[in-house]
Order: sequence, then C-alpha cells, then structure tokens
Amino acid sequence: MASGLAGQMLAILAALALAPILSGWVAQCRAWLQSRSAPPLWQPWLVLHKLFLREVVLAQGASPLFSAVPFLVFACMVTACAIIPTLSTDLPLSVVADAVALVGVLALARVLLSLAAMDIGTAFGSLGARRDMLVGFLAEPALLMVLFTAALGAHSTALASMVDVLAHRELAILPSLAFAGVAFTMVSVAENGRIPVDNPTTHLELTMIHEALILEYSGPHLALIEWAASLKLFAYSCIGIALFFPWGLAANDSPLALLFALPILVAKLALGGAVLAVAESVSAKMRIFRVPEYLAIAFVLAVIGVLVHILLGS
Amino acid sequence: MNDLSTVGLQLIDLLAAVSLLLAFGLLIQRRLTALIDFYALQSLVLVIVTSLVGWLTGQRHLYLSAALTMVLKVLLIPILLYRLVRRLRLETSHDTLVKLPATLLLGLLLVIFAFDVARPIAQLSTAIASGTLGIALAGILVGFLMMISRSRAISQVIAFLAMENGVFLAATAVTHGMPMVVELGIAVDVLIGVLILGVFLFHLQDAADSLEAGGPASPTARLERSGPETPKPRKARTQTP
Amino acid sequence: MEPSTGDSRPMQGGAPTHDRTSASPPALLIRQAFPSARPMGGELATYHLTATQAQWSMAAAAISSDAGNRPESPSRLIALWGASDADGRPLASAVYGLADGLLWVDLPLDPQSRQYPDLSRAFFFAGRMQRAIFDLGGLRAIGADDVRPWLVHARDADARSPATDYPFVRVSGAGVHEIAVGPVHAGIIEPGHFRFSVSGEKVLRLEARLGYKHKGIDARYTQLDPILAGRLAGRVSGDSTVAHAWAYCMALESAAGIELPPRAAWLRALMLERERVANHLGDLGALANDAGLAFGLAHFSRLRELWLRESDALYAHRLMMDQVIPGGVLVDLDASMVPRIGQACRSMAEEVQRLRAIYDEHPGLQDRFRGTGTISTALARQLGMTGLAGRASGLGRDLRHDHPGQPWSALSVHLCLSSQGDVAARVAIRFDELLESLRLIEAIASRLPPGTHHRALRLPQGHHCGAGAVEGWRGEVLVGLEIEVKGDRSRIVRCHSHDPSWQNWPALEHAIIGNIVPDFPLINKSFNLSYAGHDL
Repeated sequence: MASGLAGQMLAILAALALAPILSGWVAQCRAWLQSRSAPPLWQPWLVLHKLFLREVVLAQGASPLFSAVPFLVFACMVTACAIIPTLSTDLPLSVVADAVALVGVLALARVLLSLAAMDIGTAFGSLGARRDMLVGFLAEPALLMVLFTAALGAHSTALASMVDVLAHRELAILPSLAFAGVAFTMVSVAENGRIPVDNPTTHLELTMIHEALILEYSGPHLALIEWAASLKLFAYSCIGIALFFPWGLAANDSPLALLFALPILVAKLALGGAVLAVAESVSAKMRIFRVPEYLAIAFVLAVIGVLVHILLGS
Repeated sequence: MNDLSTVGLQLIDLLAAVSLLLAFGLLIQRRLTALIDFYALQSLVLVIVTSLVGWLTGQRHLYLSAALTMVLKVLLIPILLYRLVRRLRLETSHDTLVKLPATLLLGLLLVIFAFDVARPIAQLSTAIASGTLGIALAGILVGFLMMISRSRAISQVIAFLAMENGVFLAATAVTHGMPMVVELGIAVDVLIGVLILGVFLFHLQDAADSLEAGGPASPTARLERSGPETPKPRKARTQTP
Repeated sequence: MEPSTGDSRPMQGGAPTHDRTSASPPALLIRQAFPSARPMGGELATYHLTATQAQWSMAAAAISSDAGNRPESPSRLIALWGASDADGRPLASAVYGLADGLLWVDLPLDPQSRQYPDLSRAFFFAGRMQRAIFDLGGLRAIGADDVRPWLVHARDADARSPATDYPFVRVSGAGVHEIAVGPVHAGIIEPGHFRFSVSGEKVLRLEARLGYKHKGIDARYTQLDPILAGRLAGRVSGDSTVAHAWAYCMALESAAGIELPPRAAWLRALMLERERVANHLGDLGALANDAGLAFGLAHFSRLRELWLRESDALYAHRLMMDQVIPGGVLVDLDASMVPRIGQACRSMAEEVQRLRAIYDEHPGLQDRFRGTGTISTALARQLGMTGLAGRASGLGRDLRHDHPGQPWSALSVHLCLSSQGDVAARVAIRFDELLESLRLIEAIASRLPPGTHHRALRLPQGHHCGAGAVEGWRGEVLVGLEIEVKGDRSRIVRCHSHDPSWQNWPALEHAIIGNIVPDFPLINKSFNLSYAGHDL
C-alpha cells in the first residue's frame, strides 16, 4: 500500500500546481491565435493570489451551504485528480473510487455549485444552474460510455488498471477508441464550459453558463472555485491523455520513472492545451438549444465505440 | 502472419471505424460544403484501406482501384459538387426531415443491426479483415438513412455516394475487391450519375426560380433589382429569370 | 414674431430645392391645407408651419394613413419634442419625413392646460417621445395610453426611484419569470435597464428602461451662443459626433439663410463616411465576439484602431469631434493627403472583403446570425424603424439616397437593402455600407471641389427657424432650431437634437420576442443603439 505513496503525493501536488498553469497556457495560446499580446503563463496564479488576499463578501440571505460549497467543490476536484493516473498507474488512492465513482464525484461538484447558485435566489444564478444541469445530465451518460469502452478492454472499471492495460498491451490499435476519443473530446469541451458550448471569458450575463453560477462568489471563495475549475480542466485533459495517449506513464514508484513521467505529461498537456485553443479560436459559440444535439452526438458515438469493441471482439 | 500484418489488419479496422465515423458526420451535418468535405475524407479513407489491403495481400490490381478512387471520389466528384453548390448558391441546407436526435438514435439502431447481421458472415469469411464487414455494412445503412432523412436532392446525391463508398469498403475488406471490370463500370456509372444529377439540379433550380419570380414580387425585391450593381456577393435570388 | 395659428411662417432665403410636380399625396394634402406653406432655406427642402390642434391631428393622420396605405411610401414621423417659444409659451413640435423633404409642424399650446393631441396611435414610437416631453416640460398628450415617466426617473432630487418601483408591464402565466439586467452591466457599455419576461429560455417580452444618461441637452442649448452650441451638438452621442454636429450646423445655416461652400459640404461628407466606417468596423467585431468568435473582434478592432489613427493624423482627433463648425469645417484637407486616403480605403476594403468571406463561410457564426432577432418589413414599417436597422428590414430609406443634396447627388450613393430583417441581414448591411462608404471616401477625396472650406457665419437679425437632417451611421439625425438675434446678441430660443435610436429602441423589444435569452446580447449589438443620444 505504501509503495505508491510518493507517486500519489506527487500526482496531487502536480495537479494543484499545474492546473492553473494549464488554464493560463490555453489563454496564452488563444491570445496568440488572435494576434493579441498574451498574458503571462502564470496569470491564473496571480489571479488566485489576488483573490485569496481579498475578503469574502456574502450575498444577503446566503445560507451556510453557500460558504461551504467552494470547499466541497475544491475537495471533489482534488479527489478526481488524485484517482486519475497522471504520472503513474500505481496509485494507492485509486481503490477509493473507480471510473463510475469519478463521474459521480464530478456530478457531485456540479450539483453543489448549482445548489449554491440557487441558494442566493438571483435570476442569473437560477438561470445558470438550470443551463448547467441541462449540460450535465446529457454529458454524464456520454462520459460513462466512453469510460466503459476503455473498461471493456481492461475488464476493470478502476481507472488505474484500465490505463495500465491500455499502456502496456501489445502494439495495437483499437478502432473503438476512435469513437470514444471523439465522444470524449466533445464531452470535455461541454463539461469544462469551453467554446462552442460556453464562453469562459464572456462578460455578457445573459449568455453565461458556468460564470452565471459563480457570479455571487468573491474573494477566497471565488479563488477556490476558479482553482477547482482549472483542476477540472486538468482532470479531463489527464483522462484524455491517459486513455488515448497512455505512453510514458510510470508503472511503479521509482523516482526515476516519476521524474521521467513528469516532463512527458507537461509536454502532452501543452500540446492538448494548444489544440484546445485552436479549436476554440476557430469556433463560435452555439445556441444553447444546439447543446442537447451536440451531446446526443457524443453519446451516440460513445455507444458505437462500445458496439465496435464488441463486434471486433478484442 | 507477422507483426506487421497484424498492425495492418488493426489499421484497416481503425480506418473502417473512421469511415463509419464520417458516415455519422454526414448524417448530422447541415452545411453542404461540410458534407462534401466529409465525403471526400471518407473516400480518402477508402483509398488508404484499398492500398493497404493490396499491399497486405499482394494483389496489384487493388492499387489501380485505389488510384481510381483517389482521382474520382477524392478529387473529381467533390470538385464537381462544390461547383454545383457555389453555382446554385446552396450554402446551407436545412433539409433534415427527421429531428436530429431521432436520426441519431435510428442510426444507432442500424449500427446494432448491421453488426449483428455481419457477425455470422464474418466468421465464415476467410478474408483478412473480416471484422470490417460489419462496420462497412453499418456505413451503408447509415448512408441509406441519410438519403431518406434529407429532402434536398444534392444531400441525397451525397448520401448515395457515401453508400457507394460503404459498398466498396465491404467489397475490399471481405473479398479483396471486385473484379476490375465491375469496378471500372461502377466508377463510370457513379461519375455519369453525378453529372446527370448536376444537370438535373440546375434545371430544377431554374424552374423553382422562375416559379418564385412569377409570383407577386415584393416592393423591396423590386427595389433590390432596380438598384445599381454593388459588391453584394451571394445574395439570394439575384439570378434574373 | 407672433406665431399666428394656421399660418405658415416663410423662412429666410435659400432656394427651394424640391420639385413641386413630384409631391407625395400627403405633401399635396398639406399644401392644400396650408396654401402659404413655403420651404425653408438650406440643403434640405423643409416646410415649416404653425398649426392648430385640428391641423396637427390632420397632418398626423394624413401622413400615417399614407404610410399605411402605400408600402413604399417614405412618409414618416422623424421627431417629436416639446419646447417653449421666444415668449416662453409652450409649443409641441413634430418633424415628418415626406417624399420631397421634411415637414416641421409647430403647435402652440394653451399655457394653462399644456395639452396637445396624441400622436402615439398614429405613430407607434411616438409614445415614448410623448412621455419624454411630459418629463422634460410637463406637456401632456391628450388621450395617451402610457403616461409612465420615461427620461426623468425622479421628479425631485431627493427621491431616488430605483428601477424596482417602475411599473413594468407584467407577463403572468405558469412558469413565467422575470430577469432584470442593468443599468450596471458587466462590460463597459452605456447604462440601461432591461426587464425580460421569460418562460424557460424563451423571451416572451422585453421592456427597456432608459434615461440613466439624461443630462438636459435641449435645455442646455438655450443657454449657449448659437455658434458655440455646435460643440454641444457634437457631444450628444460620441459615436455620431460628425452626424449630430453636421445636423446642427445645417440647421443653423438654414436659419441664417447662408449657402454652404461646396468644398465644406464635401469635407463634411468625407468625415461622415469616415465615422460610418469606424462604427461599422467596431460593430462587426463586437458582433462576432458576442457569438463567441473572438477572432473577429481581434481583427476588426485592429482595423478600427488603424482607421481611428488615420483620422487622428488627418484631423488631430480620433473621432473628429468639433471638426464640423457652423459655416464649414475646421481644417481643410491637404491635397497631399488624397493619395494616402485612397490607399487606406483600398487596403481597408481588401481586408474587409477577406474578413467578410470568413464571416460568410463560418458555419457557427452563420448559425447564430441567421433567423435571429427577425423583424419583418411589415413590422418594421409599423414600428417606424429608420436607418441601418430599417434598411436591414426592407425599409429603403437613406437621406443620402432620397434627398441627394451636395455632395451626394454627384456621388450616386447606393442604397444597401435587405428584406431578411435578422441579425445576419444587419451584419450584411453593415458590410455593404462599409464597402460603399470606402468607395465614397475615395471618390470624395479625389473629386473635392476647389474653394474655401469655411465661410464665416453672420446671423441675420430677428427670429429664424432652421432644420438639419443627416444620415448618420445609425439613421437620420435631425436638429430643429430657432434662434433670436437682437443687435449683437444672439441666443437659441429652442433646439432639439433627435437621434435615430428613438425609433429603433422599441423595435429591439420586438426583435427579441420568441428568441432565447442568450441571443439578446447579439441582437442588441446588431442594432447597437445609442443610450446617450436617446436620453439627451
């Protein structure tokens, strides 16, 4: 049990430190693609620092739930990052939650945020909560299907063993993963509130989804939620990397392997972030009623992935 | 079979899956130009699959077939279709008869059906990429679904072409390609078919246009016509009857 | 000068530029009713008359029925305002647009009852103007349905009336709720409050509440010297400074009865088109940004910045404020700048064409633009829309095209028109007008007539009225002006600046009906109406 402890700790610390940098990297790439001068890579850290120094302003009539939610959401996201094999597949915490539980943890964070948004009773909070739940309940089945496609091959729903099988099988190309990969990309974009589903940089209250949920938060509360949001993006990126590009993960806790895995992870994240920025820069935001169609496509593709897997019998 | 051919087989399966993915892309896409792009991509996948099968089985005539597909379906037909779309000003086609989620679910059912039907056949087959048959069959059925779920002629043409791609994929994967004579015949048929449909569409559009212009023209339309020529590209109904 | 009812006041000097043979039915009617009506001087043919209450209503009915009966009729109400005449007696004024010019009707009111016949039944958007007239001068329309305050939110300075006290129209029913936005917005934009009644995401009704930028422009005019007041006119709405300043100067020149030097008119037109280009560039970028395509904003912002710097180089002011002055323009255009302007226009047109191709080909953007915020031609006519938004809904009116004075007649301005009426149409009209303006700028710069760019304005003794109307980038900007000159003292008796936003704000509320809430910013931006110009 203690064997993977160092790897586990390193994975959590790497997630906490790298997540805001990943968000900063995407923002930087987007700025470059729009021929703007870019903010520094560590800009999200500066924002977090600023927010943590500020005092919390609570809305009138906020219940204790409202103050508790930022901590709970943050805890959910840290848990998610802890059970996703980012650096090594030898994770002691992975027995805590499997892939299904991971989807549950992410859903829990969503429900908590929506409850907190409705707690204040503003029109925007409720509007955002409703839209977010719409996205969520359509995205989660698709995400589950994607994870099942991978789980079928590994005969296990534990993320660590799934990735272990994927990373160490004989050189093989799974057609089912082509479907799962496309579906997963679509779901991640929706879940993380990126263009074309949501615009993370908008200032237009009426069009917001995620931003409308957190309009009333301030100071350290907002910092925790922003941090949790970048952890979520990090978690999704790492699931994608682990399932579809699992090469270079450390199988054991040896310091050398971990040392080797970290730069590979950073390189993959940088590449993924750049691709996300390109995709965001060339798309416009879709109408909110196109989102169900969009997620239905993701779901169908994920199901076909499962079917192809069964057909080819591998 | 050595390692290399194992990879080759898996690659064929993967490419067949990509072809099915593109068939679904065709099913859900609304923009005509994107439909043509998807079709060209699907044909390109077919080219790669055909060459790959040719290389793995050492059947030289498959290379010829791949080259034919490349010239005809990746280049010539998409270019013809593009010109058709531009000339007829059919940029968007809001022509889906069935709502999108319903279409998707139908597509999913067809995939399940195709996979189920193909399994026993694939087990009998001795060809190298027997698993591909189910995927190719699914592609054919999805193309068929697209054909009946669209109202516009040009979308149906593209659906027909996508079905034809599925047939080729199945033939290549299961029987290592059709006899060359058959293949050439089909290629010419498809080309002639697209040409005839193109001419047909032009006349259809003309007829529709004159019907529209024959009705009571709105004052704004009249104003638009009487106005001097301006840089106003792709304005609807600027073709004078 | 005593305004006698039923009699028109012949205005000072100037050759009438209208053609009596091609008069529209209402113009003929009015000419029969007011046989002595004569056009005022100035660039636009403007009839000015003082009416009785019956004649006031008759004129409104004639013009409104003409607009209703003939779809292509140009008859319309342009502006409606209240003022007091030189003796301090209340006066209601309306300016109508007719086929052959403008018709300005003054109605002297009884100082005790301070009432005038209602126009909001004949002209939809007059309702808000009448509410504003009551807020500003206490004049009441007889029989108006809506008597809620409009511009002035609190009658006495101590009592602040928050937006929550304003009696918005309620929509009731299962599942209907309200969303309140503003007046403070998340972005840096002008203040305005919007109250949405929604069912789910669908908007059932939108009611705007404006007036947060009310600053008393009309009253301030009367405290200023007529020549200097041009600077105030240029500050009514910053993005239309040239249009407002020109309209004011046109009014003053018409009142003074002087003819503008041809070169001055051409130079003004040059600036007006530059202003149009700058605003269209900004809007096209913002529209893409509101649809989530930041690429469009980045590139159009760059182009707009280049354009404004070019304006800065030519006029030492990015927005060309205070460049249009009574009697001409402040600075002449150096002949050496002409090739540079032509070059800038050509390269700008090239870049705009390229970006237009990207906009037209972008599936996501087109999906957001098409069919969003649609106003049919019939509805647009009913609402009395004007300007760019009107042309996008099939109302082919453009002062530069309809009443071509100098220099427009020499340039043959193309009327950009679409009948779609959605956001896509307003985007397309912006692109068309942008390219047309670039063509005009190049033509104006290369064909500038010789002569002086400024002629000192001497105001004649006595009372004089003048009107000026200019097709700004939003629509027709109108200024109605009366001056009094006694000896060497001159003053403005009354002056009103009218921004086309008055007509189009109610149209925005109709455009959103049936659309979804997240599309509002896009629809709002496609109109991009002025708050400052409306709130006065």
